[in-house]
Amino acid sequence: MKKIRKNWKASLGFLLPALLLYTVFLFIPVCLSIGYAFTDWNGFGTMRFVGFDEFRKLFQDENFYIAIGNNVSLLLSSVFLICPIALILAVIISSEIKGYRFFRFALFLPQVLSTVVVSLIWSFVFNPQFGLLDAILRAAGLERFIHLWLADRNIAFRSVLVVNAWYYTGYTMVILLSAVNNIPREILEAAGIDGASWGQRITKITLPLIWENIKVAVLLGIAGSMKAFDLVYVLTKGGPGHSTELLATYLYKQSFSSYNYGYGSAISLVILVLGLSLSLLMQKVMKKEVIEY
Amino acid sequence: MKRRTAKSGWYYAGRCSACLVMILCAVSTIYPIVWLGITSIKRNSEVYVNPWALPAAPQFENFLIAWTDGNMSVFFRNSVFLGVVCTGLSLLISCMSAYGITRFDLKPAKWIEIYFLFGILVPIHSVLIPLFMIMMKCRLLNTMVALVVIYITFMLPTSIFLLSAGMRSIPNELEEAAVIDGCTTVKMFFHVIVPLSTPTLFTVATLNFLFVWNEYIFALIFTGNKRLRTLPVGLASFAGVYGSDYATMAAGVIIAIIPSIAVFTILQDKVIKGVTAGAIK
Repeated sequence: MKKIRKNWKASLGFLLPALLLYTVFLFIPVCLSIGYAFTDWNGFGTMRFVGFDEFRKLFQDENFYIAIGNNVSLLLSSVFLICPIALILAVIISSEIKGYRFFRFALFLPQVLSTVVVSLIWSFVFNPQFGLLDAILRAAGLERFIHLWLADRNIAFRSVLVVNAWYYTGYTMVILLSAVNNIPREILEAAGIDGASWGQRITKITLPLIWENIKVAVLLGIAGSMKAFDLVYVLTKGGPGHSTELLATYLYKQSFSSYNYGYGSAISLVILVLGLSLSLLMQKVMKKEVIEY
Repeated sequence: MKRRTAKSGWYYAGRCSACLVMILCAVSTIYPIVWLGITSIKRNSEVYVNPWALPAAPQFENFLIAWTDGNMSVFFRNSVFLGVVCTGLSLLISCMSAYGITRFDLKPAKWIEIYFLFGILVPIHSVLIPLFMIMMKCRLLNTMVALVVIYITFMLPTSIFLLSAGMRSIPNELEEAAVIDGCTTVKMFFHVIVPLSTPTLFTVATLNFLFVWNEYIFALIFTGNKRLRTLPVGLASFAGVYGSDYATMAAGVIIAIIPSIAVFTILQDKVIKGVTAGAIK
């Protein structure tokens, strides 16, 4: 037994394919990406080291600030809108309501569709000529609220936020749901008998007991809003103008439409640094003792 | 469970509004899909007239047009091929390395695991350009091989994480017994470790298959060739080609979502477990 466990050659043999793939196609690209950001490479000719030039350009680019602003809105909406709604839904769905499986199915449904499909469904819903949303508003006599949902630069990003919420709320709810379901019924009942109100039971019992999962949901929301691309790219391509631009869509356009690889790499370094540091920061901020029960 | 004897009106009002909220949410997720389904069997002229109306005569040809002229059959085949091949290979490779990490007394095993875990934190968009360059150097642009390799690589960190967590709970005694029976490491892997990891393998398989099935940006960048497009890329390009032919476009979308919804309906618990596995563990 000992012999087999100490057999480091065999162990490495099992690890080798994964190590090779991971190093060549993930780890080295991350390093290269950092290197490219300090060049002005356009895909042709030689790569020239230009120090922080690309970053200087980037920090004077107003589209970059629009993109960061939109990423931040996405982040805020996932932390302060999607998470609370998902929490409320999780509490409702777990409270002896009929049709538990059906509601969980319905809410989680968007998550099994691809983001491209979700974007296409919503481009139908938002369509100015025959869209479902306008039809509903008309039927309710709310014509004055009808907008060009995706073509009006003041509205377009809000429409994107709605689609994003539609896509992620069910997922977030399911993450919280497993924790809510794990809370022993007796604790909540005992609190009820002792005269704790519904609100007190939520804030004093449910929230502390599911804190770990809330943390996970928030972290995933943050990571997700840094990575967002598909929904926006298919729905609006970052337009109208650059009003719905995100870091990732801007990166894609700069690199694969304009071939500014150096500039694109500078944006990807910003995404990498923001993504990593936000996750680490949130982990620190939300640290809390796990409560055993 | 004890029933409380006196229930106030507030209690019932609360329950009713809770039910109402849930029903509204369910309608908001399901109805747009049903509505799109109805749109997909309309004539184009009918699409514009009244969004609420049912079609005068269902136009199932729309599906045929999307499937053949719209190349949905090609996209579908590509996505199934990639899904099966990448899921299979990623399971094998990540299972092997999880075994290498967890079941040997290898000193740097812990560091190797951390090295893999770092991959979970890397946003995929930050490596698009270098990957594009590497694939160009290897002359793999516009091939399925590029996508297979990249998909497998990006699924490794989560897969290894989940599988090694599962493998740690396999008792040592089983391995010891197998060694006494003259088992080699390779045999041990295939006859002891893999069978005992099947529950986790199913979870990881669901997660990985859905990742490949739904992935967009890699497929967009590495498959310029029309014949290599996957469902997401094909559908998105559909929107450009069939710009005003909304009924056919809707049919294309419905074709793409039927398998997902069917599988989700049948295996609700498994799918939910798979999709949220990376998050909850």
